[in-house]
Amino acid sequence: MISYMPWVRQFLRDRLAVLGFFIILLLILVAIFAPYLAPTTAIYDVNLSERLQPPTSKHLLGTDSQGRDILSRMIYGTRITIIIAVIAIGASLFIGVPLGLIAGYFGNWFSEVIQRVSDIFLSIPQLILAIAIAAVLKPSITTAILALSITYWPWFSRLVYAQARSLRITTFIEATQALGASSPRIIFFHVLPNVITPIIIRSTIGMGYTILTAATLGFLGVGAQPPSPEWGLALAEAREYLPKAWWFALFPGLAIFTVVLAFNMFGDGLRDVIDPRLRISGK
Amino acid sequence: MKWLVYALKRILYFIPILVSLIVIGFFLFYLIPADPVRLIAGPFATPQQVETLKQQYGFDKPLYIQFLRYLTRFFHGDLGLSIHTHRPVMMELIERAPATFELGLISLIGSILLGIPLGIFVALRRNNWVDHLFRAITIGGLAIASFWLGIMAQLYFGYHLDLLPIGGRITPGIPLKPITGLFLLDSLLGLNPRALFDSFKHLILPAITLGLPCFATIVRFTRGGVLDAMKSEYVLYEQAMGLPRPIRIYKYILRNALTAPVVQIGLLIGYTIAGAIVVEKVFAWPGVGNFAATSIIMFDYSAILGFTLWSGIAFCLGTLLSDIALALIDPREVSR
Repeated sequence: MISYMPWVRQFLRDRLAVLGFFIILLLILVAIFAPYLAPTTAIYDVNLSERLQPPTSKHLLGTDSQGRDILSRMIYGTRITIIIAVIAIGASLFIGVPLGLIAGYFGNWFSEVIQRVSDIFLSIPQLILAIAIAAVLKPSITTAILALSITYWPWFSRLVYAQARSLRITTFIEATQALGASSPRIIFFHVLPNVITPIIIRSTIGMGYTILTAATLGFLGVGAQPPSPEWGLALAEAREYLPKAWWFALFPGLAIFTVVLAFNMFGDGLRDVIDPRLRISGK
Repeated sequence: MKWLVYALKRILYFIPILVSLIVIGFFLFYLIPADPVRLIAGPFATPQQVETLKQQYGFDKPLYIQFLRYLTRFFHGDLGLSIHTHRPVMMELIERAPATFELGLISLIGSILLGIPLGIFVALRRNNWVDHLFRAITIGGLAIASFWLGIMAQLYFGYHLDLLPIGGRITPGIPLKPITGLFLLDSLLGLNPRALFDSFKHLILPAITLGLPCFATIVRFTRGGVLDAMKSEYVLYEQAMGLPRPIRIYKYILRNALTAPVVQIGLLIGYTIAGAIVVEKVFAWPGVGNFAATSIIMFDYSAILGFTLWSGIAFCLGTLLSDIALALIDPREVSR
């Protein structure tokens, strides 16, 4: 644990990264305690007599086109945001890391196949591929998660591949091979622990990116469907009521911005501290 | 000769990507929807109508025949009929391409023209307030959802200040003879200042919305590139030899510093195509992206497939261009 201390100290010096960390922490807490924090738990109940009200003391962020409290819906929306990001990144890790490890460690025809397939995925803009997948399947949050996972795993396989490949020829791996350790054992007990750090950094940055793409899918109608309180979807609904209902469009977008910003700042800070080689200089 | 080999190598690199895109397209759009004929026929078709349609579209044939037919049609430029406009998808894409091209080009060129000098400027004034200000802008620019930025820009500059139009390419009623389909160019060629001014006004908000992340990326990587180059040993050597700072910067640092942003520009072309879907939807911009956004909601599969293939090709071409630009800046790329 002692060897981690300088990291922590250096990380704490990066004020933006610390701010990002606290925003993420806050987001998680809000998602967990949503029913206690939201002014109302009736986030799906249509109440036309109160529709499109500007922010007041009763509805702090106003109401939407169905008369629902925007603040409460945004608080519940944090749950969707976190679920999408965590599952999509988790699934990408689950696909990408083993493939990258195997491809990097063995370096045979199978690695070639994996490398070429990831190349193809990485050479098409992620959003377009995700839209195509999500549009063909029935649009829903599940489809959005699936589309995001299918399009994000190559980032991990590529990253892990490069690391595993350079580790393969190191002395300590050679030594474990000489001791007669089996390949799966070497991969999981000796190679994997050495690639965990870049994986963590990539996941953090990927979270922000995934949240942004998920909101875009929601906005385009291929992600969350009404009456879900997902933020991107809320913005799509709000567009119909401009310019009158500015609050309807302002707050959900602000939430997306803040959260993505937090993940980016946290990820950047983490990278600078843990793996300074990856940083863009002078930052 | 070296250059020819390099260019050929780069072109060959894209062939497997395009081929797989075409194959993925086939499987995604012809196999996953349980019954594509049902979708075409609509919910009220009789079983007999469905059967006729099946024969008409060739869905009764074995898979490899279907795939061959799909390939033949693709290479003849036939992407099928769009369900929501009832016109050939290829025609829709070609007609709308100039609008998207104009928007994307202005956003990218604007970002490059502003971003590279600014990136150099802030790198040379590292850690003063300008640097911090633009660091905040670049971090923010990459985290902002373009649809939200677009909507906020419409609210403020369009509705509140009533300064700029909130959508479309040109005010209806202003005559403009189409030549290239790029309105700015057309009005210049037709010596039409009114159309030029009007279409430029329509471009400002969508171009800024689409361009902000590009701008942010370019500033960030130019700054990083310059700072990296300034730290390198050959620059230290030049400094020690007493070479004046302007010569050091303009002659020796910039060339090495620019490779990082140029690689990014290649990737940004792909981002611009994807971003066009959202930005064109927000600003009712009559381009390919807007067509794609509508097709998504209408479950217009052949249109979505057509758009996906179209953007794959456009993206590969863009990357190819940036590869060539990179080789011009850094000849080492060619001999690698």
